[in-house]
Amino acid sequence: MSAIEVKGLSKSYGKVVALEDVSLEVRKGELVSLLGPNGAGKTTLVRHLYCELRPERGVVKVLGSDPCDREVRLRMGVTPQEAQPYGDLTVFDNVYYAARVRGVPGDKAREMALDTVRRLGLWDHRDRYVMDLSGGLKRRTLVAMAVVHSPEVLVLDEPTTGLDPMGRRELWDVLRQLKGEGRAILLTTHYMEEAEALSDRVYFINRKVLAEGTPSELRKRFAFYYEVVDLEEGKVYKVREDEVKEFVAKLRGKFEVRAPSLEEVYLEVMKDA
Amino acid sequence: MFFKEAKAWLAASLFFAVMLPIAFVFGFSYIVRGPAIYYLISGMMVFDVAVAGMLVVPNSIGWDREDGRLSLMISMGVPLWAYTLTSTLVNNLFAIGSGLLVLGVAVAMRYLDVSLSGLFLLILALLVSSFQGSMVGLLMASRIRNLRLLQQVTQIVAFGFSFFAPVYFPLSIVPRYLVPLAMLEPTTYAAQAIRLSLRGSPASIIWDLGTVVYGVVIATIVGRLGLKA
Repeated sequence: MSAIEVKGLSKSYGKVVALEDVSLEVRKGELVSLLGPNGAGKTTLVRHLYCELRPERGVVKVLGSDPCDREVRLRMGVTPQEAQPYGDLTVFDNVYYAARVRGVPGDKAREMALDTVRRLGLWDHRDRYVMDLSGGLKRRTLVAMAVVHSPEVLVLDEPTTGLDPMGRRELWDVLRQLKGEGRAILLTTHYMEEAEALSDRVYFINRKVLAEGTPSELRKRFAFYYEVVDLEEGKVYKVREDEVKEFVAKLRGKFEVRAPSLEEVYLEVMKDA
Repeated sequence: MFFKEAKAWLAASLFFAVMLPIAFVFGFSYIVRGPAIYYLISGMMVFDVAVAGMLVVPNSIGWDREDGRLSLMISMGVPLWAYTLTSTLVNNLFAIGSGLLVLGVAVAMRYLDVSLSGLFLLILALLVSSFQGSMVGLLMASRIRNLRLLQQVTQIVAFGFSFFAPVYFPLSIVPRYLVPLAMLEPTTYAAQAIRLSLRGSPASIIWDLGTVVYGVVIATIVGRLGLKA
């Protein structure tokens, strides 16, 4: 069974079309990234997954049911875009109350919150007010609030936006750990290297799904050329796949041949969109 | 959770809920004597309720929306109405507590006497006034999504309805042509209900009813328009 299933989803804001016939799937134990420019509809799609928005057309199912069913949302963890933990509460209280509002009894919630705080590397900060934390620690607290009740499905909307490289890497480790625990994870991001490093599959989206596959599949599918770097002269050439051998044979000295990165594939796909 | 949040602002909360009402009673009771003291005391209570309902409640929701916490709550399976209602109740509890403290100080200083039935009527009046004020606050929070604008509008509304309405003075001295305007102001109803209850007059119940009807009308509008994250 799919953990997340979206079929033919469409949504407009007045005359502005945000989503057009979007379909996607996230299976259990899979981390799927949603990549697209600003205004591509990623957040609109995510807001359908936790019932902040209702589909105009199409079907959205999480764990086989309507996400507006509270029982389904209790089995999910979400970090909405730009959401902030409660600054006037400590890290522990934020995580503890995230469990309590989901109906976990007090003692159990305390135990789960302590365990989550420890697992996510927040132990030393557990008694600090969130308003006093760095952006990275706030984000990590938000992720802790999303996972405290051991959800089967995680939806993370740009969780690393605004983090410094160190903070981003730390959060990647957390996501890898969560994925290793068998959760289905949907991640939206602007960062190609993030999607490439973490994802089992990737969707390129700009109001509609433009391409889908594993990062290596996408690179292979859209690799119409290779980059050949002439290290002697420091020049970069774009060479068609069938001409690479002939081209490099003519080079004198050292050279490097590179397949296009996911970012280059993304730019190519978006250019044609 | 809301009470724990309030703990972080304990000094300011105590000042506004405890010290300021006491200071008001001490300060203004020197220049306000006789029957007018009822207008001062009831006016301060209305001010507390108006500020809580029309200023604190909508701004609290505005900040929660700005910081994505309304979305966060929806994602956790918490209905938006339940969340906003809880936030509203907590804020109103502070306002009602503050109102009763004003009364306590005034009674202790022998500025006025309140019978047991008057106290009962007062609590009823404070409850319905809080409900009404909060509905006005929710209406503003539901329509104004821009936080800066919401902050400005709620300040003008809360203070405007406290000082440009028959709150600290009798409705009877309002010029006839301004009475319809005064009757559109929610604080007019709350002020009459609270003042009459202090005097132990059962007529306060009629103003309570007006206050409830006003609140229900606004609540219906809020329900129709919906409160969005």
